Amino acid sequence: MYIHEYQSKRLLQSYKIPVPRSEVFAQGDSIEKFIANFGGESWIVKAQVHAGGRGKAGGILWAHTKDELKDSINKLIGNYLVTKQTDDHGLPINTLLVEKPADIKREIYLSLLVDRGSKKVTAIASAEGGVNIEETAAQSLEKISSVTIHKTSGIQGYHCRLLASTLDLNKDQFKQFTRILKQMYRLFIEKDASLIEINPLIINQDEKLLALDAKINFDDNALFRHKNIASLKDPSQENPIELKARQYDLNYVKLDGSVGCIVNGAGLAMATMDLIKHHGGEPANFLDVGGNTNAERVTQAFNLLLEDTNVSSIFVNIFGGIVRCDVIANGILQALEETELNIPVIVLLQGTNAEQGKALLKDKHHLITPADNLTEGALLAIQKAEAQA
Amino acid sequence: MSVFIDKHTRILCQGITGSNGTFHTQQSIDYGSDMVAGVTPGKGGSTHLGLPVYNTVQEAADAHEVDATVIYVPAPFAADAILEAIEAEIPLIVCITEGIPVQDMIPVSDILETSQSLLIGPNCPGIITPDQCKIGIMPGNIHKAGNVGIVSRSGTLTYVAVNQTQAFGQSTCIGIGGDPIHGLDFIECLTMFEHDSETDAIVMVGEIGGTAEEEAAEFIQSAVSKPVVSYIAGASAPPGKRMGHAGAIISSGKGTAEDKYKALENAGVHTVRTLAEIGDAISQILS
Repeated sequence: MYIHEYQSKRLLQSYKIPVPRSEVFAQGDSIEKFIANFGGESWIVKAQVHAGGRGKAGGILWAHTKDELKDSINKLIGNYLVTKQTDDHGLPINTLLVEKPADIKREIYLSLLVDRGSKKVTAIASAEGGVNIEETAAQSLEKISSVTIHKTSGIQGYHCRLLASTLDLNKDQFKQFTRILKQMYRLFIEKDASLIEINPLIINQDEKLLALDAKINFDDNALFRHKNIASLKDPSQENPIELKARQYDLNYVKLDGSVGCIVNGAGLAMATMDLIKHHGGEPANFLDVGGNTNAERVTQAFNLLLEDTNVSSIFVNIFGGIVRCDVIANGILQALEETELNIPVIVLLQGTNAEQGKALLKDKHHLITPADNLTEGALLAIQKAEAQA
Repeated sequence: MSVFIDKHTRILCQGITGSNGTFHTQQSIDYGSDMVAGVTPGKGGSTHLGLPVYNTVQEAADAHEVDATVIYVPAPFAADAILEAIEAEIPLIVCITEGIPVQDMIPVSDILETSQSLLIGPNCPGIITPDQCKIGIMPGNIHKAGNVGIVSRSGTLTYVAVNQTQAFGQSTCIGIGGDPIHGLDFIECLTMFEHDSETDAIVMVGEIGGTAEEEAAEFIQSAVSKPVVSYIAGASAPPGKRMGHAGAIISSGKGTAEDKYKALENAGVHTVRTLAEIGDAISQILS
């Protein structure tokens, strides 16, 4: 689960990790009151959206007078921000983080994550923090240092010393760094985070270390034991169809193509998208109705795809295991009766009772074309989508 | 021969009285697997599906010879169940449960390293040696005894691979699971297939994310003489989008389908770009 920058910073603050002084401006707040209460001479106004690349997209504005501050707030709040990580529609800006600018002397990179290679929590740091950290990592790996932290030992002094060895910190800075890293680790473990990234962790003119930007992600599977974290979720940042999918308990990701996919199993759903793309089509979505699916879930999946106006044909690819294909076939027929679907549906049934399932669908419904194999199914779906366009 | 399990494997089920445990234990019994007992805390002393139920794994292991355990315990308690099975020194632990918090699996992997137990999964369909033993949730009826070994990170994709190798049948099929921290990896399974006299060819189904396929490629080059056919799912996945398997995340340009294909091809693996071609590739090799 993703949270906003201002939420991440509040969490860091609650773990005594220093962040710049800031205020949150929410849609509907009074600008006059906000400005009157927040003194100073300059401010940074940051749009709170779940996407990177905000600065380059105009989502981070500087204000040097109260009038500029007012203009910046008005310019961003209630609008949509389109960055390289969002779709063309962008994400709604419902909240702003207004911050005191910091006098940056240096920018460090610091993060914690679960590394699947070592199967342990790993801390990563670099003396060259900032927006180009990925290029630094790609071009000069020696500028990145990392340590693996055993769960039994937890974070120790030597982890901090090892990590700091390439950061060129003086004694007092190292002390601050150690405190921050240890607190970060506590937060990581206590809240089941999957990533905490402070980039940049700055050293200001007063020699203080501050988390200037922060990203915290949480393990969805652990949210059941962190109700306070779960409550930080902002549904406005999610695609509305994806949101609806979650209510149906369907695993759905919207893409930009025209061939809708309904598949059982995440791996097979990915493989079906690959297949469509391989044959020159563009999948409209990833949709997994569950390895052991049933007719009701297939119906819900049809309803969901109806909401995506880009979908011009639907490829239903079900491998019948414990659930029999004839049951699924009947479910599909029933779903077509109940929904307002009016686009071609290509159905491939494999596995248990596949032949019976196929027989049930043959010449039953003008929208349905049964397929004999994966390649034929994909080609038919692409062809029908193109014919609709 | 087969790998890891055969008709003599005696199996315990943790979470046997739950709905998944009940359904799939019955399916396993019907398939002919030798289910010997079940564990559900608080229900010890009762009988379920004709099997004795115990409160702890240790009690079950004291009363029966147990070679393997299968876990259907709900996600919040599943790591606990795996650790309990390791403590009771069960040789093979198959965890079907999906949705286990990643940080719960960190101590599991630490303790597993110092134990004699092997873990398959979590978040996997399990393992089957056709006509002999089925541990997990795969549909038994689609499998047929034969000479193709299958190892895969995904459930239904494994079934598709099984379906496409029907002309030859399968020696053993193993779903290792897609979670970031899991037990057996491709390399251990490839080793077993390499040394199994019944396996003549291997199908390895990978997925984007992580570097398990790259490591497997290196291993194949140095230590696997049998032909390997491989498909990697997720070439079309947009970077950074989560696709349902916690493992399938493209992170910082590593672990892309292209990286994996390149590594496998350099190792002499017969790669296929769509899952529809797995069967043809195996036919070409074995015919």
